[in-house]
Amino acid sequence: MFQKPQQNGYIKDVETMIAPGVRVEGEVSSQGNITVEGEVHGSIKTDLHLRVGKDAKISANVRAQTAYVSGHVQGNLKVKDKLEVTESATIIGDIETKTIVVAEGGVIHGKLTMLTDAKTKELKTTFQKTESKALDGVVVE
Amino acid sequence: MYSYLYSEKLSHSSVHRAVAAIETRLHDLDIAGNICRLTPTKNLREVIQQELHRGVKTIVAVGEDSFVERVVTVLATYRNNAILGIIPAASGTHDIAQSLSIPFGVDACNILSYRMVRTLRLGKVNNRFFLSSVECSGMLSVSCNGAFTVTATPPNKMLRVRVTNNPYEELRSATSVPPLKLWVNPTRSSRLSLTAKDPQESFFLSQSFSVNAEDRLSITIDDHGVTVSPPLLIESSSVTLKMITGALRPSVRATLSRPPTPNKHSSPEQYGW
Repeated sequence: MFQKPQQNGYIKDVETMIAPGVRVEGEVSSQGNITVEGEVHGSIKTDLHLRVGKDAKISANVRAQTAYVSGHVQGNLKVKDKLEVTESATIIGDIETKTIVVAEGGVIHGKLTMLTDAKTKELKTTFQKTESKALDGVVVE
Repeated sequence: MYSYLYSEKLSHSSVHRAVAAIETRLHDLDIAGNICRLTPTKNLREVIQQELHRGVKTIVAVGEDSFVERVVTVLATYRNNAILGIIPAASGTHDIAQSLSIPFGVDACNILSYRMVRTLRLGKVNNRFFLSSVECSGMLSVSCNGAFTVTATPPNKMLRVRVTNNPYEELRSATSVPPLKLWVNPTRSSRLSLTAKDPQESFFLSQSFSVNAEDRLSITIDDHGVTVSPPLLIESSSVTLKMITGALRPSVRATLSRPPTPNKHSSPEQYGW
């Protein structure tokens, strides 16, 4: 079901394409891949991959499984899996993602929160417990 | 039982010989039937209603695209099991027949006799039905399912909008109708930009599109031009029509899940397909 993005964030089987010279206002929601090369104002939601081109201008809150940002985004980004930010990208807004790759020159203004999966959470809680017990003078094997 | 509806254009003396050849071929193939010659004073809806009332099972539209499109719209509203056949004849475009792999003139009679029936799903534009596409251009804004609006940027630019329906796509269920595809293309602003690279096309999937404009819209429905007042509501529908089609192109055949059910008395090889 989920297709891995190819080089430069390009992907086959794009369901929604917003090309240059086109402006979209409102809630863009799709179960497939979305590519934005034009302007979007409102919100973008996809269950799969989002590609934001170099000349794209997005003024919207974004939710995606994976995202490749190369243009201008003003709004909060929630990316479940991996977010790739290129050297030409500008993001003004808070980011929530599991994995992030930022190229040299990529601009981010906002709070970055790294999402953790259940296992990471478990390890974190175990570590915290061990640490607190050690502080109480009890040695844990 | 066949009934042949002749377009108004077939009353012209220049096509009498071609019509005679079609009629002879239909007799040879033993599929001749009642002939209804449409005139400007005859109401197509009443003619079709009469024929269906007589128990006609196959209605054949003989004529050009605009005539076929009118017959499709009337027949689709009755929602009975009548089968539609096409014999492209007379002047005008014949893109509908071409998209169904039906050849022009006498050769189309062979397709009729082979009787490969397919159920095609229609799209709806205002109160009419269409098979494959609706096109228009101008200073437009398109609303998709009421969720978002697509316009040109800068705002004074023209847009060319095309909504396509895949008539071969089957209904997923009684409630889920396959979506239509909207193609949006900003048109070139001046002759100087003729040498420029063609702009990329935007596309969206949705069940319904509403096209708005300030002036009346010149639209093309299945390659047949009409003028309508905005807004233009284009939506996918569950209405289907049984049509006699020719051999399908490989690309179209690949999209079909069911194999065709040819008449047991004839075979595709018989006609050299």
